[in-house]
Amino acid sequence: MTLRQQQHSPAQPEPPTANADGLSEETLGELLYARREMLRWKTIAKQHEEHVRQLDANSPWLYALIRIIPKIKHHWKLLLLLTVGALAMLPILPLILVVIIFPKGRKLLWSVIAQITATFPGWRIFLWSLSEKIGASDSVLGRIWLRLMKGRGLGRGEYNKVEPLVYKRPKNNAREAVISNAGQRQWHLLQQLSPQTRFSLQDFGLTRQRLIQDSEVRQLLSTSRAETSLLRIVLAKSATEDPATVYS
Amino acid sequence: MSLVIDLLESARWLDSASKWPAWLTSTWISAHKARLICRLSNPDDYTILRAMVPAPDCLIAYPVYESLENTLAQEELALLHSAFLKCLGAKQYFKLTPEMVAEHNLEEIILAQVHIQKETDKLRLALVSPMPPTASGVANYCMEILPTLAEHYDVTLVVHSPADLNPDLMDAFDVINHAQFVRLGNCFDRVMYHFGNSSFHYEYFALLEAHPGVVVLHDIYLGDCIFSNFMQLGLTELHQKIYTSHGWSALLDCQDSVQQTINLYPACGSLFANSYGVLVHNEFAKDTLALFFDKDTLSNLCVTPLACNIKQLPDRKTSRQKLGIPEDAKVYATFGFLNSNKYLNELLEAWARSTLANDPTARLYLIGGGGQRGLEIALKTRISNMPLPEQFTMTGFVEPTAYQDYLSAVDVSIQLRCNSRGESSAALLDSMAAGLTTIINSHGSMTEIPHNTVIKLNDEFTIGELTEALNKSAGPGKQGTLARSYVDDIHSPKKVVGSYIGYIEKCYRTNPSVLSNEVQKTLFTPRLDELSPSSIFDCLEALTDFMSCATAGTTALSGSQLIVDISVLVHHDLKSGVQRVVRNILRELLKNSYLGLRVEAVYFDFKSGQFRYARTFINTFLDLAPTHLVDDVVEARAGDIYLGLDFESRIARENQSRWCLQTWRGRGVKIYHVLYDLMPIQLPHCFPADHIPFFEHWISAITALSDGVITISRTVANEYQAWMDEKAYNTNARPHIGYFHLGAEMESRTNIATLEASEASVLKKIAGRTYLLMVGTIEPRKGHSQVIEAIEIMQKNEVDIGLIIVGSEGWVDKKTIEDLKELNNRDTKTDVIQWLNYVSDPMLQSLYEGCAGTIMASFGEGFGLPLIEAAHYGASLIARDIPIFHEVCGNHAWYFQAQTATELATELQKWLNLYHNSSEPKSLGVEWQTWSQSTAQLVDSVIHNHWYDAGVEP
Repeated sequence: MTLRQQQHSPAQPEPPTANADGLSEETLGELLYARREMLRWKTIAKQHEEHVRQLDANSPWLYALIRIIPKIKHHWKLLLLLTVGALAMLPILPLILVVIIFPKGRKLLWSVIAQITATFPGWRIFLWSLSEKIGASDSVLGRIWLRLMKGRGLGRGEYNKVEPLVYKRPKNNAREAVISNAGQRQWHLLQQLSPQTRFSLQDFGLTRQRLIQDSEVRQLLSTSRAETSLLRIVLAKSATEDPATVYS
Repeated sequence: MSLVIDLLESARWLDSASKWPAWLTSTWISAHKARLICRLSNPDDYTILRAMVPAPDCLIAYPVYESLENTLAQEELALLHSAFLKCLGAKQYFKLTPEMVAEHNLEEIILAQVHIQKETDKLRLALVSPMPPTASGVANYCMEILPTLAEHYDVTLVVHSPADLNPDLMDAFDVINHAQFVRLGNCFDRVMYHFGNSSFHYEYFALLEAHPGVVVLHDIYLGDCIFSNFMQLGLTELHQKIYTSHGWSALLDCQDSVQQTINLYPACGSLFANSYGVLVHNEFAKDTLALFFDKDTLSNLCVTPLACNIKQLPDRKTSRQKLGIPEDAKVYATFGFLNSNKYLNELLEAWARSTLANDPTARLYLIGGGGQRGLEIALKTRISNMPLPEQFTMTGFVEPTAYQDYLSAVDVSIQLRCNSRGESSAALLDSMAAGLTTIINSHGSMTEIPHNTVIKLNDEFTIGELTEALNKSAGPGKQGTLARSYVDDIHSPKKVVGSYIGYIEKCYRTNPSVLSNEVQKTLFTPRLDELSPSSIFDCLEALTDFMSCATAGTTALSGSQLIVDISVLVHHDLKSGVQRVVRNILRELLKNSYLGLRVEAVYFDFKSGQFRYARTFINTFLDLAPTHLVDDVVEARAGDIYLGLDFESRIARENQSRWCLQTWRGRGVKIYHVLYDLMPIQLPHCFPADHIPFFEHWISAITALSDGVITISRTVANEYQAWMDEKAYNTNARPHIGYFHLGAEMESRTNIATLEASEASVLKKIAGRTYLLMVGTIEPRKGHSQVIEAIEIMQKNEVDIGLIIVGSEGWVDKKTIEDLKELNNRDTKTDVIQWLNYVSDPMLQSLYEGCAGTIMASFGEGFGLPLIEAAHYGASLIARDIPIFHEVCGNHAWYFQAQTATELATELQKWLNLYHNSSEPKSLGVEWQTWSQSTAQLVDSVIHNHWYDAGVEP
């Protein structure tokens, strides 16, 4: 043993501890991993079996359509636009077919469509979800959607071109909070929460004013515990003030 | 008894005259189960204190929280401090100053009481659950336990739509909707949530975050529930919950089918983070959760049996009459929703093979609603092909009264399951409670049912076994009686609810989060009117950080973290060798689900002076669908590990980042750094003069604040050890030393699999030529000038040899760069020396494969990654005769000692002669490893605590 090793001798790795079954922590860890992997692959296998069964049933599109009809009304404008777009595309369909024969043409077409969908992130997510929900990954059209909607990665060495998503919480001054009435004050306080948390509180009628603006990305989520603490103290206050009021 | 000794301000102990009390030894600390706490006046105080304190791991250090000090009054700060001590589990509290030289000087400080329990006769409980007539098993279940629960608590029902509620319930209980509960939740003393995997429970996530309570988890997989809101938030929410519950490695599994995502991961981590305790109904659910969450996350998990009431069933004869079943019929039934997890096809197959198939008195009822149309069609088709199709009835969903009639009318209940996800079967317990003979398979929670109460088949039974069970089974008998008494004994609502109440009260009494929440409300709710929202937020950030030093409260991310610092990569990928290592190790860590820790990449945000999660970066790095997660401030807790993987010298040097790292260390986070080399110290002439003091400052800083330093080779480990010896570092305060070797394969993810046009033309030009390849950043220490000159000498001597240099510009004087550019310009057909700057991976691979040999003339290296890459692609190796290259290449490289270009030219000529005779040392014997193996070596030190300086070789 070298001098250096002697200096650190008390810190030598402890022998693996054994449990009641005589298995070391390390072995238990490996067993746990093996069990998890087995469960994982079993689940994936089951998923594929069901997939095949669904294909055999031969009615996934119709069935999917029945399931989504009640929800379509929320996005009827988008669907109308898509239908009109599809109809308008009909005359130029032969041209598109010619274009996609060539690799560069395909590349161009993908980038144009991806650009359009990227312009409307809300729609993009809706369309992605829709295609997922109706099990469209089974079909050619579904695969096109999935490819369009999937996050497009950057090349090697380009990762840092991404602008970090940092939620910039409003910096109100004290006076603004003092002069506002109770409802406004609550609204200001809740603005410290990230958009998704506010969106999930939106329908509970905490404030008269909408908690989230249309311009905000409602999916944006912070996992900060200070947000949860803030929400709890705001609600502790609201329970003592005018408990009967719910803005719904 | 737990004892806390407060060292007060760290500055008091740093006075050289101050001596550590002789009586306060590690034996004393351990005998008294004592914890030491100290407030840091300066980040580096912690390092000095650790060296001074006999049991440094018992020392908790926390910073000065200015926002709290400036906002709260003295008595409020005292209250906060008391809550902190209480969360630490302190029973006795003492203050210690250096002047207290004897143990009897210690004077106990009486802890201020923090009252969180209200004195009332009957506590108010909010029961958040769907209730009848909602078509949900959970609703029916809560209906069963409600009377017993109401004996102990003043119950208020929280439902989605009170107007639709059963009128009897409306009369008997206070009922509020979710919106009212969000607003009034604080009026309740206790909150109990019943979570299932359906859309009825979706809003509970928000309610639980607003008003924590105890959760009864009926189904541990909540993907369907989360995804039920897909029209609003799309897939993003599901992905976010998978990320917070299971980390990035799980998200990699979730990029294709939504169904797969839902089936693979429970995604219920937020329940553990936001609640005071979680109840499941069987050991199988607990075991399954243990596959996905660590022990700390599950520390507040409890198993209680599912409640089942033994009901007074209608008379059997009357029930049969009502249902149109002949009195002499042998009635078999399955209870519960018809789905593919109930072995219904197998049941029909076994029925067809059994004696029952031809018995006109035998009946099989499939009782329960459907949802899988394909399955129903298949079942109907199968039934129509049976010898006696009239034996079979698919009832569809039945009302509770009809359900009771069936329970009374049936002789044998068949409850077979597969793909269980931790749920307990209420239908099974109903059958047993009705005293029926019940056939089950030993699957999921049903393994816990005693053998003498049911006919139990193997988990994966054969059709033959099921056929035999059907043939043997008879009407209600002794087994049914035993089943009934088992249900009465174990699952009676009185007992189960008793367990619920015991657990709820225990959670509210002992969970530190309860106290932490109450203190927050006490301190800040009255101040909401006077402080600005942003300053309240800042205070709460400080408060949650402070309480987390006492391990109170939870983070939204399940499990302990391996916090990997990739600051340089996030701010600016220098594309140097270090970044190549960082990218590859990071990728391996992120996709590994076997570390026992969740891997979180972070960077230091110099603007805000805080570490942030690099979520946006990782999202793109792993090419995942957008997760829309904010790069939040890192929340580190005891048990986490920080790994400074990137070489960002400012982080260890600058005050703000050092504050973060020292305070993390002060609460039990292990701090490790990767050391790539000591070149600026060993070869100062090869680096800019102003860089050397920076490097020395950095290496001193990481030595002072790290628990371990991991180098990229044994050579560097020895050099680092020698450096510490030379600097006479206190042996008690030295970090452990480990090392790992780098991987050889190119990065698995490249932007294009093919060569750029310009790269292809270069390859075309050098095809067939004999050339040496030199890969590495252009720096003086790499010996480029010597090699170029040697090649030029050889070319003047008409030796047919070229040189390709690959590498971006590093620490270099402008002249070398100008020379290289000039070489590129005067390139002719006979004179091939080219500098290619940065090339794609396919190009580099082609160059390795096409070169005569790869030369590394560095005067010093941390590892020599190009040599190992070259060996991977079969290129011969020429290396300077220095220890690190011997460690990496062994006897499989040609080593030179040339000091001048002429000497090198002579040496290269010798090598070339051997090359032309194919007798040069071959690189095939070089032991190279993958990045996965390399990462495993790193993890061995960082997570498994195996250190080179403790005699463990990777």
